[in-house]
This record gives sequence, structure tokens and C-alpha cells, in this order.
Amino acid sequence: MSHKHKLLYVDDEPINLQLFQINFQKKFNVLTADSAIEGLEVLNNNTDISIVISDMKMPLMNGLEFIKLAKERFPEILYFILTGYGLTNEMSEAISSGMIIKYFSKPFNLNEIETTIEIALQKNMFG
Amino acid sequence: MKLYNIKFKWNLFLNSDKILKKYTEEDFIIQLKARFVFYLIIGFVAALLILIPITTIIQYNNLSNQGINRPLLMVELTLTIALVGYLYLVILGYFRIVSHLILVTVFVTIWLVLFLDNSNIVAKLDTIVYVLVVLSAAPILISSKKKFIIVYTFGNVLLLVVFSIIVNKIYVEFGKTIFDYLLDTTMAMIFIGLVAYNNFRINNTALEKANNDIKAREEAERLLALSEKKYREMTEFLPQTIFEADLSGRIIYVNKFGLEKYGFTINDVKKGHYITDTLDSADIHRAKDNIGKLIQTGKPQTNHYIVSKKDGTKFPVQISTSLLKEDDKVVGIRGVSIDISELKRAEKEIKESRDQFQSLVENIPGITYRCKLDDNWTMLFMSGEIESLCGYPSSDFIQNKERSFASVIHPDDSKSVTFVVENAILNNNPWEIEFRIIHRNGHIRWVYEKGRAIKDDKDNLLYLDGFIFDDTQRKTAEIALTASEARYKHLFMTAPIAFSSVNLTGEITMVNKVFTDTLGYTIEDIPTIDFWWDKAYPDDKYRNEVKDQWGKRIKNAIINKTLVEPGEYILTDKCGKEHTMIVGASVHTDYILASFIDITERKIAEKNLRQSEDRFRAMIELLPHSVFVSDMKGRLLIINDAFCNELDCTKDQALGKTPMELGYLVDQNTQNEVSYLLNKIGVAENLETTIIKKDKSISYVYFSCRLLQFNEQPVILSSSINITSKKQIENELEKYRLNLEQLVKERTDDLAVANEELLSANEEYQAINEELYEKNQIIKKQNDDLNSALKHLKETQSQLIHSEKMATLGVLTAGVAHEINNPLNFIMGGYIGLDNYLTEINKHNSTTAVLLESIKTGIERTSAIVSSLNQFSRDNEIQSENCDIQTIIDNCLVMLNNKIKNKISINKKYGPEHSIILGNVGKMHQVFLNLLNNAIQAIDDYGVIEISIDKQENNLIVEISDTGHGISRENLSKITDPFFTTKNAGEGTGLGLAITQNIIKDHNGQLKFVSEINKGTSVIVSLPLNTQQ
Repeated sequence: MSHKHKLLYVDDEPINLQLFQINFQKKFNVLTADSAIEGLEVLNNNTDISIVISDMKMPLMNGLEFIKLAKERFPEILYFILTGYGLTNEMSEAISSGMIIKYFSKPFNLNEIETTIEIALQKNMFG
Repeated sequence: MKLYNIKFKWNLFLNSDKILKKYTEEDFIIQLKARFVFYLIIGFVAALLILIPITTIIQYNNLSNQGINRPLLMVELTLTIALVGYLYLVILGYFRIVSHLILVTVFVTIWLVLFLDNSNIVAKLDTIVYVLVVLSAAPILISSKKKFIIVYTFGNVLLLVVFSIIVNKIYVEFGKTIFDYLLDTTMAMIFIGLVAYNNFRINNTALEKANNDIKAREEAERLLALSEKKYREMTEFLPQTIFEADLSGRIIYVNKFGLEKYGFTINDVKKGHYITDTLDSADIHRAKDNIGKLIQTGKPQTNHYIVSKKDGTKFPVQISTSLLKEDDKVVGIRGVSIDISELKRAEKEIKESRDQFQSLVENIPGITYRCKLDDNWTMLFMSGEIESLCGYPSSDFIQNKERSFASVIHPDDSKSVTFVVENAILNNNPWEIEFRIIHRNGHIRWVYEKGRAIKDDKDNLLYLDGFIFDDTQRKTAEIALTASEARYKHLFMTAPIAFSSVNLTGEITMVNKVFTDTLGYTIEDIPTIDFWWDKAYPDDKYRNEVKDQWGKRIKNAIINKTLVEPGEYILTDKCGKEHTMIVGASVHTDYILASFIDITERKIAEKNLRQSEDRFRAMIELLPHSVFVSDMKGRLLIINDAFCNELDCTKDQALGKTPMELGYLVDQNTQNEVSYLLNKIGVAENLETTIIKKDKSISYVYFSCRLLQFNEQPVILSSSINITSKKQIENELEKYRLNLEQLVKERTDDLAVANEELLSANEEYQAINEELYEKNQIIKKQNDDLNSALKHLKETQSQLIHSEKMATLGVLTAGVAHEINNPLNFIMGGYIGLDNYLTEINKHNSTTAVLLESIKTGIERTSAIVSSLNQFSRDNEIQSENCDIQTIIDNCLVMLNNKIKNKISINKKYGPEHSIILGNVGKMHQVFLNLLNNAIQAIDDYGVIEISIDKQENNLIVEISDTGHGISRENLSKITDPFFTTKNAGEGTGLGLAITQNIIKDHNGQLKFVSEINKGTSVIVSLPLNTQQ
């Protein structure tokens, strides 16, 4: 791997942030944020981020609200949700409208996340 | 034995071939020379090793010589060491150098001894002899360059001269004698040198010549081999069999073609195969004779034989043989065998065709004969074909040698033959006659004979001439035809239809049995067609009508060459009874065949049926409800007045259309239900449904229908009873009831107060007590009404509470799921991180594997439970989600796992690959959780739950059967009622199945129960599949 993609992970649980960083740092350059607000700040400071994965249920602003804001400013980034909830109506709407590519459920599946992102990146590059 | 062993060891020790293997590539002479030098050096060394101690001892003992002669001893030792060195060099392959070194060494040694020896002159001069000896050995040592011999010779001569001069100075007293001696020696040296030189040259030249000879011979051999190979190959590939055999007949060579042709392998030949082995046994003797002739005369022989291949198939060959000679001596024979099967076959074909031609000539049909006119028909001549006709040769009949011709004529025919022939002769006519002949094998042959009598000038009969033809085939056909006619007649007589046959003169020639049976007339009753007309049609007018019609029809049939058009007529039988019959006929060249089919019975049946149908129609018309019969496509066939009134249309407008076209819309659920029921049981009864009419007004009806067979077609008889007004009244009542409840509630409160007041004032108001009592009764009644209303309210409230509870539960589980999933995510992250970390630092072992695996399994299992919980929390009302029933049932089983574990075995029979219906995922979970939970609770100790999923037409059928305690017949109808429960208080609300029923109804599905006490219950859920998906 000549170049690691920059990935932002947003979750209000610090343990989740730490573990995500440890487990995905081999494949991605992982940045973390513990809230939607901080997530937007990180995005502003790192315009080369290509992937964003966000938790759904967070205080003040939930994952989809955060992604909606972020996508307005950074439409090129690939957005995903990682949540402990099952598939809700608003989530399936977000997928069908193309706001997010996919939702991952907690507890996360490392392989599923890595493969999905890789495929999405390739599609993004060629299409 | 012992000696041999020693020799063996010695050989092992000095095996020159092994030691001198460096020379195997050299020519033979060098090899020999090298071996000689090798042994020579060994000899020298051995001699020196013996010599040195002996000379030392001699010198040591001979004190007069002042002890040991050190220079001599040194020379000897040096020589020994040098020789050992040479030996090594020889082994290394430096024979050429060593040979020179030896010569040089020996000469140097000899001359050193000569110069250094202090002994007397004679002893000194002796030593020169050694020079001569060594010089003579030079050609053995020297390998290639003969000039070296000259060099050595003259070197020694030179040294001798030098030596002479020195000796002459020392030993003056010898003077001339020494010179003479030296001269002689010099001459001897030169002579030996010359001899050695020539010896070497002759040897080498001879060797060269021998080498050239060998080369020439090798070349000649090579050419020979080449040519032999060429001939052998040519022979091998010749397309004929070539073989050689020795004088015993044993085959010693067969070419490749021959091996293939005869099916042998080269090994078969090698094993020993004789010429006679392939020859046909009949030919062996002849072949031996021929070979004998060949050997005697020496002339090549060509003969034809039959030979056999290895597999036994035989074929003809032409074999040409010649003698095989070696040095003019006969050693065997050589042969070429040519397959002449084709030739033979061609020959045979020609012969066959010739034979055929001959037989053709011989087989011109007809037997000519000449015979006498006597009882025996004595034959004078008869052609040979008679044999094929009667099985006896013609010679048998000539002059009645074996038998007379009369004896083969069928005895029944012999008289008529004699009669016909004699008659013809008498009238001077030729005759033709057919009669039978009895063949030798007993078969009868029909013959046709044509003959005439030959007379002399004086009209005296000389003999009879004629032909006899075999006529059996034609005659047999004729007989068969007669038999067939009889068969048809029989058929006619016994046919199951009445027939009569009338000829052209109007004569009735035949009537069959059925005719007589049906109409009673025999042929005697109706000898002509006129009798028939009068009897069968007694009414004049009708008869004339029929006659007229028939006349036309028969005319038409004759013109168009068709059958006579059948017609329906009323015929009177012999007893005067009338029959309705279909009469048809076919016109033939000389007769008319008429057929009569009695349809009287059918007519009566038809009439009865029509009457019954009329009755039925009248009844339908009288019914106050809509009644209609439609075909399977819904088109109306029969409708009554009530139906027309209901739809406000006339009968003519309605018939042939569908109710829908007339604006009679039944709601979709009912349609589904009706078609389901009709398919299943053929009847749908009293379905309460709504109908939307043309003017959009809604009617409530009880709708019934039933599948019927009508005129052998499936039809649907439907009826609908309008209950709109009844329904309206019900609705009014319901409204009224609700008002009443409210009223009662208000009034009860008032009354309660009033009641108390009344009670306290009881004594005071004794007078009006009775009145009050009366009122009380009214109140009591009202109270009862109120109570029942309350009970109903309570039920509604409970249902509300339950659905609220379910909704709350949904929210709750969703929250709980999320809260569990988050820490599960920590554990999963920790697990993956730990796993990777251990891999990185290489600290994985079996214990860590078990520990990590347990963490992972734990996460997975918890996650599965949470995810199935999640399915219930789906709070949407969407009815169009894809519900995979298999997955949903599996989810429910996860949820119920703790109740199932160790108690119940689950038996899944998932038929179709896809079991996806459209509906609400959360509610479907609720349905199957409920049904599975019931099944589990029905099982007290141990049992089986079988879950089967299957497709039937457009429905998904899920059947859940348990082996539990079952449901009694009276309870079975009540189990879907709200609040009906058989469980103990607290265990069930009695709402589960009611809600399940409702959800399934919302999904256009059906729920059915089949149960038997103590055997178990089967729940059958049928849900419509969305076929578009």
C-alpha cells in the first residue's frame, strides 16, 4: 500500500474510537471525533479525507444529521453509518437516496467494513 | 582352492587393468607397453629392495674394502626412490615420459657405476654389457618416435668414447686391447641400435596396416548392413506376405504385412509355427507334395490353397514358393502368398449369375405334358417343374414308373376332371379346368389346366397335350374373399344398429336381427318396400311426407355420391307402438342399405328434462333474492328477476355479460375468499360482503355460491341476499347503544345519589315505596345493561392496553438493543485488536485460541439475540416490506431458544428456496413468535415441533405442528376470540391468537387450526405470495 486513505470515525463512545483506531490503522489513516461538531471541524482541517463512518445515536446531532451537513460541503466523501440499531426507516431512506452507501451494525465486522469500503473506493475512482 | 585364493588376491593387488585404466582409450600397443613398463618398474624396485641389503651386508663383512661403499649405496637408494616415482607417473598416465626417464635413468646409472666404480678394469668393462641389454629393450619402451632409438644409441657410443679415453689414461697397461674391446662394443651398440630401430619401424608399419585393414573391413560391413537393411525394409513393407521356412516347414521369417494379414505377432512365429499350421487341413497333403516337388526339381511352384488366420477365419491364397539356398545348399523354402479372396468372389459371382440364368430358363411357368387318355393319365412326357408343384420328379410319372398322375389329383376332383376332359374330346374342343393336386407334403395345390386332344388323320385319338399352371395363390385369394363376404354378412346381421337392404326393384332382401328386435318386422312381413311404407307409416299424410322427403334425399345422394342425409322419423312397429328413429342410408350400385337408430328413450328423457328445467326456472324466478348462474369466466347464463331488479337492468341486457360489466362489484377480499373456497370445497356460503353498484351505492349482502355441472359444463350458481337495511339498523343500534352507555353512566351516578336519598328517607316515604321499588327494578335492569356495556368497554380497553404494551415493548427493545450493541462493539473491537496484536508479537497458542474463540462466539450469539429482538421493535406500519418467512421463523426460534432447549426438538421442512411475502416484518415476527410460543406451551415435557414451509399456487403455506396436549373441539372454535384462554391467570392474556388472526387478516392471509386432544395441534398459515416480485 503506497498510500493509505484518510478515514474519519465519529462516535460518542471514547472506547469505540480507540478500538476503531487500533483495528483499522493498518489499512487506513484513521482520524476520530467524539461528536458531530468535532467531526465537522476535523473535516474542515483535513480536506483529503475520503471516507467517513459515523455512529447513529449521538447527543445533539445524530449520525444522519451530521452526514447531511458534511455531505453538503464535501460531496466527494464516501459516507457510512455504524450503529447498534437495526435498520430503521430513516436509515433505509438515507441509503436509497444515496446519502450513505451502507450501514454497518454493531458489533462491527472488520472484513465487511474493509471490503465494502474497498469496493466503494474502486467504484468511486472509475465511475 | 587355496592357490586360487592367493592368485585372486594377487590379482586384486596388482590388477594392472584397473590401475592402468588411464590407457583404455590408447591403442593396444601402448596398453601393452604401459603394462610392460609397469611390471618392469615393479620388478626393478623389488630387485633393488633385495639387492640393497645384500650388497650392504657383503660390503660390511668384506672389511678389506674399507667398509661400506657409500656412493654405490646412495645410487641404489636414489634409483629405488626414482623408480617408485616413475611407477606413480605411469599410473597417472605419463607412460611416454616415464619410458624415456627409465632409459635415461638406467643409462645414467650404468655410466655412473662405470665412471665411479673403483674395482678392477675387467669388472668395470663388464658393466657395458648392461648398456647393450638396455639398448636392445628400447623399442619396447619407446612408444612413437623411432628417432629416439638413434639418439640413445649414439649417446651411449659417445659416452663410451669418453669412457675409453678416461680408461685409457688410467689403465695404460691395457692399451690396444682396450681399444679393441671398445671398438667391438661400439660396433655392437650401433648394430643393436639399428636392429632396434628397424624392429620398431616394422612393428609400427604392421600395426598401421592392420589398422587400415580393420577400417576397410568395418566400412565393408557397414555398407553390407545398410544394403541388408534396405532389402529387409522393402520386404517388410511389401503388400504381400513373404515368408521363409526351414526344411522342417518351420517358419523362420514373415514380413510385417504377412504378420498382419494372418493375425500373428512376431512372438507367435518365434515360439515355433509351421507352414502346415495355417493351411486348411484339406490342403496339407497337397502342399506337402508340392514342397517335395519343389525340393526335388528346384522349380518354383505356384499353387492355390485355403489358409486360416490366427482367429480361424479362412481365405483363399495363391502361394508361390522357391528354394532358399545357402552356399548352394538347400536350407529351406521362401514363399509369397497373395490373397485371392476377391478373385474367388468374382468367380463365384459369375458362376452364381450363370446358375440363376439357367434356372430362369428352366423355370418358365407351366408344366407341359403329353399323356394317354386312360384312368391313370399315363404320362409320355412331363416337364420337370411338376416336381415343385407336387413334390415328385417328372420321371416318376413317365409310363407310371413310380406313380400315376391320377394318384396326385384330389379324389374329390378326379371325377370332374375325367368328365370335363372326355366331354371336350367328344366335342372336339380344348378344355380348361381347375382342380386340386395333393402335394407330397400333404398340402393341397390348386392348378389350372388347359389341354387338347391330338388325333391322327383318321380321327383316332393319339394322345393329350396340355399345360398345367400353379393357381394356388389366386384360388386361395378367391376363397379368402368368399370367407370375407360371409364375415361381412354376419357383421351385418349382428350389428348393434338396425339395418335393412332394398334392391333396385324395391324388394327388401335383408333385415338384420336388431331390426326385427326393435320393430318386430321379419323379412316375411315386409317382402317389398311398399309393404314397409304401409306398415311403418300407417298415417297416409305422414307417409306421403316421408316418402317425398326420402325420394329427394336419395336423389341427392346419388347425384353427389354421398350418404343419404339422415332424418328423424316416427315409425310404427309391428305392435302399433311408435318409435322415434334416426333413419340414414347408403346407396350402392344394386341396393340401398338403410340404418335405423331408435332414439325414443332419449326423446322422452329430453322431454322430462325440459319440463324439470322449466320447473327449476320458475322456482328461481319466484325467489326474492338475486340468483344467477354464470360460466367459469363469469358470463351470466341464467338470471332471475330479483337479480335484474337489484341491478336495474333487463334480462336481455344482462345475459352473456359478467356481473362486473353490469356494475356489480364485489370487494376484492370476498372475491379471493370465494375463489379459494370454490377451488377447495366447491361451495362458499353466507359470506357477508359489500357490493358497489353502478351508481356507487353500497349494498351489504350475504353472498353464497356453489359449483355445479350444467349441460356437462362447470357453472357457478350464486345468490346474494341484500342485508343493507338490516345492516343500517345494526349501525343505528350500535350508535344508539353508545349513546345509551353514556346516558346510563350519567344516570347511574345520579341514581346512586338519588337512591341513597331515597333509602334514608325510606321510612318517611313508605307510601311511595312500592313505586320506588318499581323504579328500582327499572334501574336494576338498566344497571344490568350498563354492566354488559361496561364489560364490552373493558374488553376494548384491554385490547388497547395490549397494543399499547406491544408498542412500548418495541421502543424498549430498540433501546435495549442499542445499549447492548454498543458494549458488544467494545468487546468485538477488543477481540479483533487482541487477536491481531497476538499475531503480531507471535504469542498465539492453543489456549489463546480457545479464549479468543469463546469471546467471539459469545459476541456472535448475543448479537444474534439482540438482532432478533430488534425485529419486534420495528414500529412502522409499512405493509410492503419483503418478509422472508424462513428468516423470521429462525429469528423467533432464537428468541424462544431458552424455552425450547433440552425439551423440544425442532424439525424444519423448508420447501421453497424463497419464502418472501410482502407485509410488515415486525408484525410477521409477532405472528410466528406467538404461534411458536403456543406450540411450545402446548408441550408439557418433551415433544417435537415441525415447521414446514411450502408453496401452493400463489400462497405460502406455513404449517407449525406440535405434539402437545391439543385443543378440544368446543374450544377450537373459540381460540381466536379475544380473552379466550385456557392458560392460568398471568400466563396469557387470551389476546395472542386474536391479534395474530388480525395481523394475518391484514396480510390477506388465513389462519386455520387442526387439533386432536393429546395428539397435538397443527396451525396452518396461508399468506399470499406476491408473484410480481
